Amino acid sequence: MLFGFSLFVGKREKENGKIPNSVQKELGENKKREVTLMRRTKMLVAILVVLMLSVVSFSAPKIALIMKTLTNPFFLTMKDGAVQAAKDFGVDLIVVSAELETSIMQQISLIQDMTTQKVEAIVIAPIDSKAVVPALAEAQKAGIHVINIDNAIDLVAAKAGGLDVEIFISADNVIGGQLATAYLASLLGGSGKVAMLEGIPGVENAEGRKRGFLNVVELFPGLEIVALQTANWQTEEALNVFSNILQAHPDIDGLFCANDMMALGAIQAIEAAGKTGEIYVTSYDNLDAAQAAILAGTMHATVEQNPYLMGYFGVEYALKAIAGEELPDQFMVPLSCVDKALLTGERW
Amino acid sequence: MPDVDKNLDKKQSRKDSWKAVLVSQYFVIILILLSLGIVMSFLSPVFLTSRNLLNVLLQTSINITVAVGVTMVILTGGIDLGVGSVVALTGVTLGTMLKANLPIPVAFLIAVLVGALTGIINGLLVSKGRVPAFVATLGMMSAARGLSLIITGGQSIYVFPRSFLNFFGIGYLWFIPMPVVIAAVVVIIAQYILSQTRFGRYVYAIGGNPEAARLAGVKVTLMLIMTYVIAGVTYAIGGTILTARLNSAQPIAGVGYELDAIAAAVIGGTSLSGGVGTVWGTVLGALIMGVLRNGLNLMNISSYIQQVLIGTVIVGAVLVDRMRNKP
Repeated sequence: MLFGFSLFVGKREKENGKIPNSVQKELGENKKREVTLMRRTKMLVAILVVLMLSVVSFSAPKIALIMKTLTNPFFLTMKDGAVQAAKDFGVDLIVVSAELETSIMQQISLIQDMTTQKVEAIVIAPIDSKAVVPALAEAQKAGIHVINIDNAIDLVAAKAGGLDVEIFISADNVIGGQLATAYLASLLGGSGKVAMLEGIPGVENAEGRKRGFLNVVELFPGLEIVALQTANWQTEEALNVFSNILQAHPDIDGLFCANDMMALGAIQAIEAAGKTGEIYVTSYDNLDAAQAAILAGTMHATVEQNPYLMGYFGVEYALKAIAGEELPDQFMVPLSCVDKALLTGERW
Repeated sequence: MPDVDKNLDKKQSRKDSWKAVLVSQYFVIILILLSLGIVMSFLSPVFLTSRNLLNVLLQTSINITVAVGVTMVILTGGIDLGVGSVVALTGVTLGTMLKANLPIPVAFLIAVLVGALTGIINGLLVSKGRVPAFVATLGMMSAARGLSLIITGGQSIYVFPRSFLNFFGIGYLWFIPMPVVIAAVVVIIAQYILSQTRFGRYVYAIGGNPEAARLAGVKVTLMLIMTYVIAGVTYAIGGTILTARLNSAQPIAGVGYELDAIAAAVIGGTSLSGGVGTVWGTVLGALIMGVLRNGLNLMNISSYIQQVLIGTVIVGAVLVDRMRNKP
């Protein structure tokens, strides 16, 4: 219609050889509008195509790794293992984490977010062995495979909540606790006053390590437990709690801490009391800072529980689950005791 | 005749000074502190030793330092929820500077400046922005925590120079632990500022009646900013002491410090509506909480029960104080 009009106009005015300015302007604007419309339509189509392409999932399976926290180097190593496995097997790995080792609600929200995102599997290191059950059960109902690493989900609670944990990958915390405590006992010659700083009470790995500690102490009648308190995996809390334990029991001989973060706080308390070297300290996790402390002589041993392998096998088994393979109930990674002799190469 | 009068006057003034002690605002909290101490010394044989008492002071030193800052903020009618997060932020700033091999005084100064900067932001938001202090400092609480995690990538910074650890953490001045010395210095300076300077009077005036203060010519905006800056500086000092004591700068440190600081101020008689409160009161409030925590730890009582008891003491102390003030 526009074109027709322009023809008509053109015909009339061509007699003068000129198209009047007003009409010319209008013609120009209409042409501009046409061109703009074409351009915009092309852009829209391009955007739609890109969107569609991105929505269509390629062959890389989407797996979510839900960590407890990333403020503890132990979990960073675990994440590194998972990321490496993702690279090796061609997995689209989404890594999310709660902020602190006590941020239970945050982790539950993350599980729900990953469920909404329709990932194919969730590999989770739960902060709380029971609180994550309802959210994970929901995820499983939505067809998401649930792989448990590091801290065990309570199986009784899982059964009650309708959750079937497909595999549990970790290190045996009881054996680990026994390893570290046996080392401590050997340093003490089998007798003396000992204390333990435990992790978050009620949580599976904390309880396991405590059980290991108690098992070994029972074997040595010369060992006396003067204090057993929690510092909730945290360094600052350990500093305060152990300062008070030192006050009440200044003649303490040995300490087992359920993780390195707490041990690092406890050795500061020992330093402040001027007792460095008088108290033997063994711990768990084999963090770099702990290795440095062992070499400096402020700590004496820690337990390596291979978090890298936990992360790696977590992703690998998640893939197997997605492929429909039958999974074993558990997969335990090896544990080893790390002391100064091992670090300096005196022994392997 | 004059001699008899003089004697009567002397007796009267002695009676008056006793009355003054009894009605002194500190009477109740000193009484609570002493009775707590007595109870604890019966329940634990280790409590009343000089080592343990010094330990109580040591463990309370960080809270005293930051609580003094919070007290000034509350006096102006505001509140500061960002204490813990700024403690962490200044701590990791200090840690990063020390790891970059900056001289210790320079690193400390930068940490203090960071604390002051958070104070400027808070002060501006509260005064010029007319944002309620609760909201502004709530935002700072979250933002400062996030910044700490970003700066460190979530990881703690370990191992600092010996001299730093000695001066701010594990060293002694004579027999007094350095953190206690530092806290004492902060307390004395703050007490001086509040009681002997014009700024101090303005702080009370703004808290008592901000509109009247403004009409009386007090530069409310500037005074508020200065108050939050001073508070930020105390948080930085607290963060430095913590970093030295832990020999690590942790981005997740200081969680919950604001609650302990506010509790200390409130137990010490600071009114949350502003205009009422003193530095000494806050110190006493912090000591009450410290003695309670320390005693309960010595008796091996779980930290969960401790939390219930501390909450009870906070409310109880304030209740008793209110009842005493009502004629």
